[in-house]
Amino acid sequence: MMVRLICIYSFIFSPDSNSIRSGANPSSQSVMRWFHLRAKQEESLTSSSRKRSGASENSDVQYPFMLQVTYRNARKYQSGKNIECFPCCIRQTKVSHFTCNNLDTDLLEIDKKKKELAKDGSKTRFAHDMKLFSSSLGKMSKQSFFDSPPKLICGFISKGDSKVITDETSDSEATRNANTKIEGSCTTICESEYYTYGHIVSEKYQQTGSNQQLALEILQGALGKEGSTRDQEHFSSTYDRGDLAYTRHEYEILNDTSISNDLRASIIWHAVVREQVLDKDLHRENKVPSSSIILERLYNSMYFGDEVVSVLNRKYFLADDDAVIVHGVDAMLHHYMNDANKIDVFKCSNFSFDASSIDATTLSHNCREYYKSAIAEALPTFKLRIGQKIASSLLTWVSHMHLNSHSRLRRPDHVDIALGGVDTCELSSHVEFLGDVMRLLAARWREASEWNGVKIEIARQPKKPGRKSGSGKDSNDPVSPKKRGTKRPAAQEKSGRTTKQSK
Amino acid sequence: MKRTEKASKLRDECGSSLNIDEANIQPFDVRVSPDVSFMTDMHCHLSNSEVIGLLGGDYDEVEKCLYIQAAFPCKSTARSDSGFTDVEMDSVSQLSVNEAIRRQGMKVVGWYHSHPKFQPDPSVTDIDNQNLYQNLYGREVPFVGLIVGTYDGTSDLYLFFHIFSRL
Repeated sequence: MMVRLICIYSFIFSPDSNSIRSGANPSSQSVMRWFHLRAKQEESLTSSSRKRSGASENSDVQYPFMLQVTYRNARKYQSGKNIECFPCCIRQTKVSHFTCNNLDTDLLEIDKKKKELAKDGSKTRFAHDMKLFSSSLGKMSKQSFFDSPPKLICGFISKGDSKVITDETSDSEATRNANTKIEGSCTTICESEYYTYGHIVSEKYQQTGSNQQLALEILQGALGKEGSTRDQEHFSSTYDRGDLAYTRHEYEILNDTSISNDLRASIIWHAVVREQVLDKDLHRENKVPSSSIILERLYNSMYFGDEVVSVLNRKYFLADDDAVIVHGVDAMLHHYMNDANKIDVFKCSNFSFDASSIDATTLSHNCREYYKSAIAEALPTFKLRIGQKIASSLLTWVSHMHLNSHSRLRRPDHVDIALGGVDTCELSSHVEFLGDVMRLLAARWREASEWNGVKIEIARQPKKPGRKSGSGKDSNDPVSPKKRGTKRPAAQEKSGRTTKQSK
Repeated sequence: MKRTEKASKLRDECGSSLNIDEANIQPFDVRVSPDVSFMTDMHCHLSNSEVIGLLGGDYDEVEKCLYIQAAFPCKSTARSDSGFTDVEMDSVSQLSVNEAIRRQGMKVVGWYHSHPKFQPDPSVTDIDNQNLYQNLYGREVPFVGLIVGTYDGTSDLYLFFHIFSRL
């Protein structure tokens, strides 16, 4: 049956000029809006044109829609009967249904038809993914890290169980042992594997134990205490610089509570670009942290229950269900890194950012000057970089995600620490987490550019208006308008003459 | 909360002179996890083309509240043009995401897509799609649409929408 719909967002269609909705976001923060539609009644449909000019009867349907952001620690990802996806108040209530009881039957029928239609699509896509995977390994082999890429095996373990593969040569045995141990705790790992960027991670799993705590452990062959010397050295050197590096001033600015997310995001993105693209020393020594290393760092920061299973000394810890977020981010970045329409995170957007807001903060004079000179490039306003914009948007949400829901935990060196910063140099966990996510994004984009032979160009801020060219840098600028204007016709003329002569 | 209770609450908040038609009052509340905002924001920022995905969660009939707990990005179908103005969900991806949402003990409660180049107001196609999705998924639980506007301003816009037949 065809359903006729009418929009009731009368702000748009209202003849009253005072209530015209511009559509622009009036605030500096991301906002959520409601848009509600309903089917038009038969009789009201015929009379709607007559009522359009006046105040209609339906104009009173303009209630503020309740839209709230919940606390993230309310949900837990668990399979099985004891579903804890929702707060206690929800779990205790009986969720009733609307009308249709045969939805599953309908869906199965639709699914079956869609599978028939697209059964070749999955094969093609799998082959494509495999091709990408194999080519990425080959091209990445020039880095010493990938001389012997470590295998990551990821699965569910019960509370307290942990297994680390200690020798690269005993991969198969250790894997078998690990699987046995996991099976012993009523958890099975399916054979299908998820291919990440240079690693193999078993993704599909089934958890049958009802009382088991959801846990995920990464068993890494090259990270064991008895691993090969070369790998050990490499990993130690890698993880010595594992954290995203900030200067002292940047730490101070990031830890300041009076600065906005935009300012904070500009510093995070500045540090990411410096590490991934601009640091010539790191590039010369081939020591720029790859996306694989950053991803391992994110996975290794997982914290499960009362035990720390990570073998690394981490600055921040993530809860077990954060694995879902990390996995989702990894999958998305892996998918879009080779997409033709992917966004160029290193470019500038069309929007300006007022860097002078740094003066309104409680920061020290040195920090403000550092920000203006090093990050804002001495301009009062500058074009917002795409990466900075993404970081700023995500910072809004990640600050509400309660990444450290555990109040205290024990680090691998058996030292109790309080989460949330024990010294002044420790950043909030959500800032650290976002820094790693943005690093992963930049690293994936950088590696994709390197494989495609495209050089990354960091967009420079436009020069200050009124500055005269003709001295210093500007005089040697090869793309100055004056030179371009004289060279082009000459080149065309020359080519034209050559063509005539050859004829 | 029942509609009559909500109507009285609104009258208390906004004044007794407020003309409220209880039949047209908001049918349910929506609570969104920040995970959803994070994942959708990240997804929508990655491409100049429109992207698409599904939302997982559940509905509490007593509370009349739709809890959106997780976002599941889907692949879009391959196309020759830029895809700046429309997007179509890959059917295989949709099936696997359906399965993933069920495995997590949730239900499909919504879909999202991005408007990378213009305001996140629903187009006619979006409304048609919402109608189709509601017929497909929305018989058991309410089903909402989410449009994320990413590059139309310095900050992002999230717009939830829902259609229903008038009684």
